[in-house]
Amino acid sequence: MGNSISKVMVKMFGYREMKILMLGLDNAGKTTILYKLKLNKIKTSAPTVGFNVETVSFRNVKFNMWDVGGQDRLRPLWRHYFPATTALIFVLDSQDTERLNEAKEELYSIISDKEMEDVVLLVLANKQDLKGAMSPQKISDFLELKDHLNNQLWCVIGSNALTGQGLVEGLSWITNNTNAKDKK
Amino acid sequence: MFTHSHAIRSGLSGRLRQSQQDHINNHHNAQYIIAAEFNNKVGPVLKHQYPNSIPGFKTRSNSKVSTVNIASLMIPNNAENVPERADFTIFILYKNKYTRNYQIFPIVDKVAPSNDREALGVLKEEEHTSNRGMPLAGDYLNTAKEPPLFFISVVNTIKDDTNDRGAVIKAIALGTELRNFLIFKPLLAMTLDAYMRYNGNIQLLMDCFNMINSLDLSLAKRIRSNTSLQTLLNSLTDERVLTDIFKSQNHHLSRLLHLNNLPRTDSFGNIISFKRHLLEYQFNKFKPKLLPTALTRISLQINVINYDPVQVNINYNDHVLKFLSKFLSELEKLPRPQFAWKLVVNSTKLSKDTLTQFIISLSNLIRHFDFHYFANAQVIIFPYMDISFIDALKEHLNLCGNTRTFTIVGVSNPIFELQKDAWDFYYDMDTESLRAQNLENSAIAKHATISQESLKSSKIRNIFQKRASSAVMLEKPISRCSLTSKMIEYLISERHDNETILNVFKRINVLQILSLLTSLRNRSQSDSQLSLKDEYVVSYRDFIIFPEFFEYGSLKLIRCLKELQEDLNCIIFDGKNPYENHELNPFERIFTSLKFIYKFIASNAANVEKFINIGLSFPLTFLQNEENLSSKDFIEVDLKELFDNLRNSNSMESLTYQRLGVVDYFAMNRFLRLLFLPLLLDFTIESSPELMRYFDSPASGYRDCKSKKLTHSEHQSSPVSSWYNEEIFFQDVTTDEAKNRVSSSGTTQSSDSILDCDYIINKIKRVSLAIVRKLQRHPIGELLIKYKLNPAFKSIYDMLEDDSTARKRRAPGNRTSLTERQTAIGESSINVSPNRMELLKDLQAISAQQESIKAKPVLEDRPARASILDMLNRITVNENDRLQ
Repeated sequence: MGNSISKVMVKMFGYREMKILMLGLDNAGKTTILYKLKLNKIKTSAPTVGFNVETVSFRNVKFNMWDVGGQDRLRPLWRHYFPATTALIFVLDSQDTERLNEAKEELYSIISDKEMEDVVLLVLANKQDLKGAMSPQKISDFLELKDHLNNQLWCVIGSNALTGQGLVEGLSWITNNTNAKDKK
Repeated sequence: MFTHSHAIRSGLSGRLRQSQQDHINNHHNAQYIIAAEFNNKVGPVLKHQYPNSIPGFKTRSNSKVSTVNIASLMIPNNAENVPERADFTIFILYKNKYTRNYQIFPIVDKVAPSNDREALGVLKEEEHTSNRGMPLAGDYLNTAKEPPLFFISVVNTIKDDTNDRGAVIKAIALGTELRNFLIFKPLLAMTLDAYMRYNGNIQLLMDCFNMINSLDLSLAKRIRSNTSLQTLLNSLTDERVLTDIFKSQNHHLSRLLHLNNLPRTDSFGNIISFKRHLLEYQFNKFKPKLLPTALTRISLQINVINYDPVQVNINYNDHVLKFLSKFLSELEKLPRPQFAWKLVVNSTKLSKDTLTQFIISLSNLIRHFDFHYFANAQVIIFPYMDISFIDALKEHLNLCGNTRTFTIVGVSNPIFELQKDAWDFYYDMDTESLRAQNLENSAIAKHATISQESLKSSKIRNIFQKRASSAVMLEKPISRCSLTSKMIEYLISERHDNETILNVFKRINVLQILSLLTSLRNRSQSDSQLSLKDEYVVSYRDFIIFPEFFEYGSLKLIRCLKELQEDLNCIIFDGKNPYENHELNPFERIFTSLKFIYKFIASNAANVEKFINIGLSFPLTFLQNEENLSSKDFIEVDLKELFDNLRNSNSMESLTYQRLGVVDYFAMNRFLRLLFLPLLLDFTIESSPELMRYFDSPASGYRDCKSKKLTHSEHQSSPVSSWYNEEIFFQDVTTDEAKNRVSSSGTTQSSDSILDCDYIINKIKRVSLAIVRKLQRHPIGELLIKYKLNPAFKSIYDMLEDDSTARKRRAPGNRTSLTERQTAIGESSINVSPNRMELLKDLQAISAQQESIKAKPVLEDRPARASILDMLNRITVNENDRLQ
């Protein structure tokens, strides 16, 4: 029922709703991104206990954005948030090169799950403003997505949650690519 | 040094021999204190456990493999979003006697076989048929279970620039078997504050733990565990009665507790004081090592009245009633094969304190921690669940049989809505919306796949087949508005307090029991295989249950009061005999009912309390008359109009002339008037032709079979007759006295009939007076009579008591009775119409006559019943009081 209403809305007004799941290691900047998009404010004074969920409207799309805590013990719980996800935003701390491999493992663990095989993947190489931050290109190369994701749409975009750089671009990419996917 | 009664002294003897340090070390009040923090890299982790690790949770596991992390129950979702403001969660651990370990889910007695029969929700035949009544949870938990440990946890987030993530999140939790664990909230919150300031020093936890255990709470525990007293205190809604009970100078409380005096200190010298219904303990004998001494000046306040099996502190009107109004109508739609249900309640906006207390309050409504809601079905109460427990929950549900398990789980994460195998009902407290999954189709489909053959030995088949054929079972149930749902509408709109709400539910419970008993009586003997309580749950499914009404003695009393009311209504008001074919006439039935009541309350003090409680919860039975409440649809019923009509009817309800709201009228106490109305019976009035027929027929004569019938009925309805041997109230009145009265009555009835009528009325009055005397000897009964009894009844009672005392003093030859005097009044002043319908019409005339009678000295003349009824209609205790 809800689904058919959505379809009518899309046909009449081009209006859509989608669930976005934002994951990444702890302290990658997921919550900062979420509230920068939602409130255009910086709201990071504590680590996320559990999750945050907000709706963000962009163009004709209402994004239900789930930001789930990235601490070690919380990562096994990510899978509970997989159902009905349209797009995955995986956030990386571009400066935290020591844990880049750990992040890569977690990312592959997520996208290898059956429930996530159809989602579009946006990797936000966050904290680009910090000294020593790896560029989006380098991160993309490191992640080897080109080699492993043949059937999935993906993109790596550099971002700075404090200024909002790359965030709208990322949402725009998701909007366009999920549209494209619908048209298929 | 305070004085204890012998009972208290013996109860405390074990404790009294202990030193305070021994007492502390024995952890009588709290068993564990634990601390957790949110690790920026790992997540929620346990930091400290004192006095030792909780068995089953020994590892301070930081690894991913640990499936059950109680730290995540202490640091709930979004705890970081409300910095500098403490929030609370509750979780429960269950101890397995064999493994000696605690676990997060209740102990499963038997692993449910996974065959189709069990999958359908089929309950096994009970192994011990003798124990079919109403097993206590404690009994039921039998060999493998111990009382659960309740953990009250407090969490806070404090901004901290020295922390690499800008904030510190910590929690501490206290584990205790005490059901009123909420009393520790202030102390825990302040200890957490100190714990965070001192960077997690375990000495603070030790101080808090030892301080709590330094009190001897045996007095409070004793009061709160007195079931009959507590159920009675729960039923009291009159503030004056409650205030008087707890006024120290009145000594009512010490009498209720069987103490000579209320103690002023505990056994270690900690000061105890009573402030209304709060028992306050001071920590004046404990010296903490690190905890600020200011904390020892905080008193521990314990409510003497145990309103809930597990204490909660929320207003039912805010959330519970709104939930129930939605949930009950959905439960009604459940097809019969789908019996058990799983409920998930989510809120992301309310505090975890509110959410967890909401879940506990739902568990209280089904009395989960005291009784079994239904037979041997499992009930899982999980006040707050993190998503990390979802797999463990599903595993546990599979273990105990998915379809024979009730679950009530509180969550603060909407992702649970996607976990569809974990719920049948999903309620969002923030939006007050209830979502039910397609129960009908799944249940019916599941049912259809099971052949009737496979159900042969199943109990569930009997539960449902005795109500309907298999075809009916598969039909989609008809949606209806139950009495509970109807009353909830009024409770919400009139906004009542928790006590009134619970008292309304109690009355509904009693009404529905009466209706169920009637329908069970109409069924064949072999039909009923469930205990009455389980029958009740199956029939009504309205979630709320008060097990105290399902006890044998309680059921007898409820029936007695109902019959008493109907018979009094017949004799005094409408003249309609509710039991036309009964072997006893209404007078004899009244006597039998009163005699049972007397014997019940004379057996012990706890029974007096039980009786008063049942009396105070006795409902407006006119709502149940001849109707099956399990199928009646109240959707179109206007209760206000119905109650207005009742007030104008020729019934006992016409004694209530005040305009009351629907809830107030429904919850009005009708108890005392039932006990006092028999005192108004007067054979000069009752000896009307239509009532005399009860004594004139059968042809063999009433007197011939009187003693046989009464003996028979007493034997049948008084299984407790051996409790009480005093027969003085049930002896015959002197025949000379009766004959004298007959000769002066001047009626046209046969003298034998009048003699019989007079004989039984005298017996009724004697036993009625005896009941009131017993009631008056109980502190609460005395206060009820003082504050709640209509003064007219009081004066009648006083007159009859005076008369009774005077009669005892007089020599037999000089006896005169009240009845004689009343007869004289009746004869000299006015002729009372024998037609009961005309009786009320005569009231005006009688009233005028009685004005002059009332002016005369009491011993000279007494008012006749008609004028007394009129007086009852006119007298109010005060403007806001309700007539009895």
